[in-house]
Amino acid sequence: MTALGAGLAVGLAALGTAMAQSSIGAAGMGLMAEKDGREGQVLIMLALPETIVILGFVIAFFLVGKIV
Amino acid sequence: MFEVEPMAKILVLCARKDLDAAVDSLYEFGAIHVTRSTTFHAGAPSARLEPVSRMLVKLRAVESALAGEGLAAKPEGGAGGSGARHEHSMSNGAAVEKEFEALGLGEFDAAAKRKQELEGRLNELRSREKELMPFKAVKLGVLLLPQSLELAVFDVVTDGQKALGKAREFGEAALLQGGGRQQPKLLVAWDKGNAEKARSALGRLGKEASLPQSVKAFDEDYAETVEGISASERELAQARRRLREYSAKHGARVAALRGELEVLFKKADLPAKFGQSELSASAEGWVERKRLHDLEKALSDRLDDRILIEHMHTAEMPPSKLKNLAAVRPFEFMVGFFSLPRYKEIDPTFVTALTFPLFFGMILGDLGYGLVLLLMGLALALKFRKGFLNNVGGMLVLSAISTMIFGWVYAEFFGAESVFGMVELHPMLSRIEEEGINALFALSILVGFAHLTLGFILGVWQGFREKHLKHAYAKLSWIFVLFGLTAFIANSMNLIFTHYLGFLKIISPPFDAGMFILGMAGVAYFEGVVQLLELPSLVANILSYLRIMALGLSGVALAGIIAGIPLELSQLATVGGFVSFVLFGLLVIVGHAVAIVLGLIEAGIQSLRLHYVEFYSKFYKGGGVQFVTLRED
Repeated sequence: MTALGAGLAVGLAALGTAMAQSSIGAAGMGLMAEKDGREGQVLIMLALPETIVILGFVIAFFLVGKIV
Repeated sequence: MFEVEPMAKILVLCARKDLDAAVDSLYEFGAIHVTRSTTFHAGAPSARLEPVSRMLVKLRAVESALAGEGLAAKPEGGAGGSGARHEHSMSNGAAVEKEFEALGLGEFDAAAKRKQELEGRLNELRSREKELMPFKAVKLGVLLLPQSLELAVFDVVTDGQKALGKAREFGEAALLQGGGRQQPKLLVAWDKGNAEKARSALGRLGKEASLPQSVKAFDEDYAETVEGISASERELAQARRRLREYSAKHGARVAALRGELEVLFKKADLPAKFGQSELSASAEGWVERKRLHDLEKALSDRLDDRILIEHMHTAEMPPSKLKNLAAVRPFEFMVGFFSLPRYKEIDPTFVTALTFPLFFGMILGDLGYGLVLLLMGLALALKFRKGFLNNVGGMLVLSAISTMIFGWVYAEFFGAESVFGMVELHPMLSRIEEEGINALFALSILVGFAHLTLGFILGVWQGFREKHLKHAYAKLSWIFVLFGLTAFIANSMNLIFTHYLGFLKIISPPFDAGMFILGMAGVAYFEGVVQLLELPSLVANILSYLRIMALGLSGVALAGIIAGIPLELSQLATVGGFVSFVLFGLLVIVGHAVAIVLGLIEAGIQSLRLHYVEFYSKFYKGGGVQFVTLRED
């Protein structure tokens, strides 16, 4: 069960991140097409949700530590 | 190092009649960021702008047309030769026009126009040839048939012979080969009275197509079309030869004169930013304080005492020009990509140049990969002496050195713990053993803690520099929160990384909690109670640095798989072994290449993200205006 929890922690977090980044990425491409010089801001916005998957990884790591 | 170049705002005043000389002098000096003058009325571009613009547009069109023929010419440097570039002053407009006339563009226009006409004609003829090809052996034409008969053509989709047989029930018919990928066509000449019945019957065997419109027999028309194509191709070759001759004679001068006109265009447009009255003109701009004397000298050398330069005191924000050591300068691009620092803001380039390679190396950490990246970085930096690729080369060299250092620490060489199986490496921190992974986990947290602390310290410094004391004390409060919280966790919890944060235990209970509470009170007082909600963000920021460990482990896994491919010299002893050696060898090379590219992209982007999101948000806002000089050189 712990292993399942670890897998779900990373998997579901990654799913959430992917859903967030898909919308942000599409909007970011639109912004870059219309305004020059916004690449830095788009990159930041796109990178923000990645913390979710890292936090999921942290939980999984702690859980895996328990299994081992 | 942490500051941008000090700037001075200057006002240049001269008589209207000396405007051209002033423009030439300013352009020759070059290192000035001209702004719109607020003295006198808004100026207008020079009267020379229109003819220069006209000549420039024409030369760009000529270059583009020649480039389309693969005849692009580059201007030759140096003092002599037709391709040498000269700098024209605003006063020698007549000389420029004379050079323009000497290019003989009438000759070019005639050749280019003829070429365009012939290309259009050829396209039409080729299209016609394709249309007539199935009918090339047919000695009939639509207008040559008796009045009672009608011609029709079908694209045959079923059995051609069956369709032919059916068609002959209604009149004369022939099966024509389409040529190339075209479907066969069924040509039928039927009595007009049978037309409806024939169409209905044959419509089931093929789709009726349109007949080529022609006043002659199809075979004659086809032959004439083919002859027309040959003649047009011969004339087109002649037109292209004339263009090649023109390019050989004048190409270099066209390119050089285009470059000279671009400079002249900038000069002619510059007065639009000046202020002008009936008798006087003024220009305003920013100049590096250390070059102020050079500017005064440049202007007075040309105009003696006919020009006045004044230092203006203004509340306007100066443009930013970064000032860094040569080794650090490649990272200016990274800062600029985010946003340039405002004039009085701390320039984070130096710190970024230290920490970016550190994170990059911690993530990628492989001796072999670092060596490959070092060679790539050196190649880029040496091949491209300036510009984006030179910056990338510079960044790659430093990052590669860090990668090699961490590769030594992790004892990884192309994913293996030995150098080509000959020299064993001994890890100080192994990324494949549990203890090493735990240590890396803790190291990532520690690096995050240190990086964020540095960010807050820079924020405190920024606050004091700008005399925003509230801002400085707020950042100091956040440092208290960070230290207090981390010390509390180190003292009271037994997590993987707390063992490695032992140094924080000098903040013993209850001082750890006290520090945390004091910090939170400070944040609430100096930034507002709402800012307390940023505490979870701070925790998330620290945890974000775990990506260093996470990405590193994924890279190790990939490199380990590739290193596990069986590749030994003993395989060369047999033929079968030789073949497997070659195949496995290719697999290893491609595999490592993919791993290097993925590692480069991931380590680069994630290190950059840690700087932009976690680090810069603690002290840096940006929003500076780029210092743009009149001349790039």
